[in-house]
Amino acid sequence: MENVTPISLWIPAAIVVAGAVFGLLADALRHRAAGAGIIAVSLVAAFGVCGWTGLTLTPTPLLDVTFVSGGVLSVAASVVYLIAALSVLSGWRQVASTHRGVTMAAITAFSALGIHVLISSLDLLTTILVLETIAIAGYALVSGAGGRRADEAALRYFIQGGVATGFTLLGLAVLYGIFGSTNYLGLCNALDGGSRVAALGMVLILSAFAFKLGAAPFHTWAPDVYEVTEPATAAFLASAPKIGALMALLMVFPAGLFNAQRFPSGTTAIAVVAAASIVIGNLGGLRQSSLTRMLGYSGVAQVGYGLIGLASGVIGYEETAIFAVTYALGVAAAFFAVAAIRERRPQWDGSIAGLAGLAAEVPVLAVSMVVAVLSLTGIPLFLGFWGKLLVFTSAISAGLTWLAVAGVLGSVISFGYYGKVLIAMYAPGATVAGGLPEPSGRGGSSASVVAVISALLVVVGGVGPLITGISEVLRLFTL
Amino acid sequence: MGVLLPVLLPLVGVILVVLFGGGDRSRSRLLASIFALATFIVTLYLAAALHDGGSEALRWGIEAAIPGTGFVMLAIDGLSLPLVVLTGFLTCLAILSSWEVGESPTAHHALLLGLEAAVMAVFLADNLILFYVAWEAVLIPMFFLISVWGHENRRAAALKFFIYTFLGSALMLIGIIVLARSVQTLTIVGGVGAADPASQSLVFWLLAAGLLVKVPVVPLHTWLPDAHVEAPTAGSIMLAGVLLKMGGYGLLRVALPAAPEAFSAAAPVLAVLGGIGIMYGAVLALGQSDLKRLVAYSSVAHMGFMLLAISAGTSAGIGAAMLIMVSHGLVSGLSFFLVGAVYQRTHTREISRFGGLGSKIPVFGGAFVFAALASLGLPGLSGFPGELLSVLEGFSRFGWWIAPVGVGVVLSAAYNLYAVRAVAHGTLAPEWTDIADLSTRERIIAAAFIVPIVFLGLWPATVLSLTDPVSKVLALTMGGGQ
Repeated sequence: MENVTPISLWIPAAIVVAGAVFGLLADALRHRAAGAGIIAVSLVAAFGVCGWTGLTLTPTPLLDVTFVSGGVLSVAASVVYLIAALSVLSGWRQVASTHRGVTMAAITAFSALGIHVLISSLDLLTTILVLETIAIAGYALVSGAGGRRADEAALRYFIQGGVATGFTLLGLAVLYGIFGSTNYLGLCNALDGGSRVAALGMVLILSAFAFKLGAAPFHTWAPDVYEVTEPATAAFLASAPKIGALMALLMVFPAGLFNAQRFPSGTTAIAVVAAASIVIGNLGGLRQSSLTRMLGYSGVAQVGYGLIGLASGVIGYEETAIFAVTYALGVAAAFFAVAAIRERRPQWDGSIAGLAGLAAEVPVLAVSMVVAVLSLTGIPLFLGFWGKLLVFTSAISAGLTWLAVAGVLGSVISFGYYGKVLIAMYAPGATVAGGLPEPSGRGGSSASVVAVISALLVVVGGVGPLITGISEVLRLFTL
Repeated sequence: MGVLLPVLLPLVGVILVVLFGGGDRSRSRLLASIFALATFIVTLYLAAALHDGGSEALRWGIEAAIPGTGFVMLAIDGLSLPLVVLTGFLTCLAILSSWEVGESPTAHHALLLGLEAAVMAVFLADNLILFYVAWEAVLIPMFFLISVWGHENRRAAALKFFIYTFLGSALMLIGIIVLARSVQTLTIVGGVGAADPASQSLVFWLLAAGLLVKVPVVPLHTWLPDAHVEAPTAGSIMLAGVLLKMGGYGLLRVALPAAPEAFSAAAPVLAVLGGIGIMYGAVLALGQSDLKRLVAYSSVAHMGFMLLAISAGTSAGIGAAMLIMVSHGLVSGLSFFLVGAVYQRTHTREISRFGGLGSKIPVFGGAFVFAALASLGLPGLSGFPGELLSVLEGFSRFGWWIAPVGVGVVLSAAYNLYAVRAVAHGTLAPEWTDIADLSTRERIIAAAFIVPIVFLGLWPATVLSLTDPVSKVLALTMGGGQ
């Protein structure tokens, strides 16, 4: 098996790069639909390869322990590719008809590839390089929405991201300068828990990751970005990079570089960031009237739940990974539903109240949104429940019961804003200004199909473990 | 396999109603009632099977690839059977009472069947995770039933209902996790051993947070009047008749075996909470001007008796609690049905605007008086034996401390008779001169409630003999003796 392991990293990467390059070429030759199609197919193929290798291969280090791939890492990467593919398909109307659309699809593909490498990276230098790749792709995706607000959000995102990059580089410089290695394994052997310099490096790197995740107090960019970005693209931006950053943090923190035994303060710092994110995200979410902005704040809280798993240390490894995947699919389903609603009602102002009458107009989209929102709340029968159940269980196992209690209380508060979405959709539609909204899209637009597919994934993932038992799920994620 | 059917049949019903209902009222309600009736018949069959099997629990489950890790584990025994039959019965009547539902009948009936499946899964769950999953799943159909088909302030009430109960159950989830880590098993029926003594009171109070919100006890009850008043009739019947029973059932099924010592220690607190509920519910019921709110507060009082009975910790007390739950399911179901019927005709629930309905619409009046008498605990009707037993058991455990409960008993007579006088007696208000009496369908529903209320009043042993084997074991666990 040893010699086939590289396929879990190189093959999907090659497929996606080739797909993106050929897609852009086709676009340059004015075959837009074909170009977008090539990109989508390459992402689906990468999803297939990663999924298969994740289920069949155990994680194995590659290239002199610069990368590690297989098992849970490949499963997580496969979900990233899946969401990227769905994101391209969801925005198909623009993707296949405009020059910018194909470019955006290609950028999404490169970003997904960057996240895959980030998940697999075992070297600080590589980690920072791909973090930058993902960030630059992110700036482009945000400004791609067009308009002044998008430009402004992209610029703010860029400036704040620049500061985070500075932190990371400083952290890298400190660690490399003192301990002479960028490789996790090398650093792990050299690092000394008592060293203040090492602690400084740790804080700098944690801050940078907190920014990438949108964890408090580095979260202020998230609501703006989610609000102005095209919903199909936001589905990718709000989900996939979080899988990447959480998985990368798992490599750096509980078991790896700054492991809990030598750096107990790291665990404490993560627990504090988790609690702060839960409080700030949920309270911020309560005040929002815009649906996507609310999802931005709720994302801050959700990252907090993920960090609970991380704070639980090694016990929480699989749990955190599962949480990252379940959250990503849930939030992607929500944004795909937003994309479909936007296509259906072009004059919708994006507010929660503006969803009134949706259930009567397009029941299937309303139900998709219900599924996504209940999953994000963490209600059983939906995928999000398992993620939350597992991170809270690991927190209790690690003796962090207070953090688990903070998590469940946060989930309860979160229904205050998620519930508003449900209530609004099932309210009578008479409140829509200008009489009855005229549906502009055809019934089976690609955005609607993607919304339904992602909602189905969330339901199947929520009910499946009840029947198979959670051990089956855990086994997928066992390192 | 039979144990699965009460969960599976309504779920199949949901799918068929959604697929073939097509927004058509008569087709949706026909399909829904067929499945509700079939489910009820299955529950009766289970009762017979359990009776033949000498009260040994019946089990069914899907074995996971790794033994002991599957979640779909169901069991039925004397403790769950009465509530399972009650759920099957009330769902039939709830569907029958929303026969004329106007707005999206397909979704309405599908949600009612979904609610039935979820509640059945709560009562049948033999696995802590399944128990929690079902517990939360109940919220989803109920949330939509209230927020879409309810009255004026339905949206706020639905949100409040969801957040309140979710707050309780989220803490309960933490309790379940702590418990499962302590006892190293997820099996419930006859399986949950006691958690280690050090963590028992933590486990108990975390579980109780979720269970007591659902009961509900004062001061965690404030979601209940709002939810009841705003819910449509079928929703109210299910909410009062079945959902409130989940709290008492959970206390007996999970909290007591999991933390017997903490339970014993908490018994006086539970008794006080029960006593407060009895009195506070009765006082507030007396002060209501809204008829539906009056019935809602009476539920708080009745559930107070249930809690008092449980806190006695004896086998007879546990039997009494089960009896009160079944009886309250029937009596409150009848009351909410009648309030819904009169609201449909008058579009008001304002007590002061009624009067003299007994002479104008005698069948309704008669049924209303019957419901009030059943609610105040008239001997010979189902409310009496359970509440009497509850007070007796409470007295033998806590002595004269429970004397104030007597005030609650008097008050319960007062508010029920007040409602009778204000609605059925007196002079007829001129605005209701051409009000119609109960239709044939409504008479059938009322009769279907009345027959078991009388039956249980005369033969309470039907329920007690079922619960007896289980309640003896539970009482022993707690060291409560007889």
